Amino acid sequence: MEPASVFAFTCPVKTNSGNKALEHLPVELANLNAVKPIIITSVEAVGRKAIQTLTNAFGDSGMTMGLFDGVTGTADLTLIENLKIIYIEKQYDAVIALGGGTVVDAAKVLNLAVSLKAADARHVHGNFIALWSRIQYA
Amino acid sequence: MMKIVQEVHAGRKPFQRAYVGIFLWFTGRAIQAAAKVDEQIRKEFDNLPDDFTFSLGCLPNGPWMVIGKENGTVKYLGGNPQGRHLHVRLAIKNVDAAFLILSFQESPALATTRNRLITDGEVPYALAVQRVLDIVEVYLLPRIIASLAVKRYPSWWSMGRKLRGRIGVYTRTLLGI
Repeated sequence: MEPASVFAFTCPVKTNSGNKALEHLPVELANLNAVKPIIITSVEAVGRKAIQTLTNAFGDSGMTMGLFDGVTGTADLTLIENLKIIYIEKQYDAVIALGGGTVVDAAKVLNLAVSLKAADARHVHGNFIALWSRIQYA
Repeated sequence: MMKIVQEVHAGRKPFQRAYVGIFLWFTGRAIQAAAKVDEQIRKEFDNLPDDFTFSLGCLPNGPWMVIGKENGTVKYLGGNPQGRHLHVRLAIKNVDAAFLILSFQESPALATTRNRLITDGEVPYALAVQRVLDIVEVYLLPRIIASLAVKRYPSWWSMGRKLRGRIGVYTRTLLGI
């Protein structure tokens, strides 16, 4: 599949670290005009305590979040497609990845799927691979 | 399919919120009192615009304290900044950070380096407010705690200034005058 003729993907990074840095999340999200994030994680990889720490960091913010803690070592595009449908139906507006490896991969592809408004997550996959190939061989 | 994503509601932090709320309420009344007792604070406010108003509090839902000048007098205007024209808004990013700062576990300087504070408004006004807050904290707190809250404790102040100031500030704060 051919990628879109004009494509730009900007990913600026801001790092907050240190004591109680997680508690800055509601304000950082508000700066991005996000009020309803979805947390993508794997309970097997990070444990319930880490998830609890993250959700507690939102205390007193009045926010409602989605929590998907079932990312496995072999996350597939059917899962991403399901998450994309839920994301749109429930009107989430930000993705938080808690964990590494597959969790971050799933969150990135979900971000692309909802940002590109792809009809199917598998199309994002095609676009992404094609674009990646084009960048690599340009 | 919907069940794979749970809805999680952010909890509450009632203890931190209550502590911060009481602290800001008391400090607000103390600023009003100190503006009548301390010459330096009076001069700081005299140099500010006649309708000068500032707020200090925490995001996203408070609590806040609002201080303003009305007819040349400094007044504590309550805890609701909604609908007011604020010259300076000093905001702490969350109630946990506010608790750390206002319980003196973390100095304002350290909190600034940890990116916990937001200043909205003119910097000279914000610095004047910071100087006022420092003086009020010196009056309200014993030296060992005040040294944690201010960058440099004013050891050059005379004992008479501290004693008279403390009696005046505490009396006026408690009576609300």
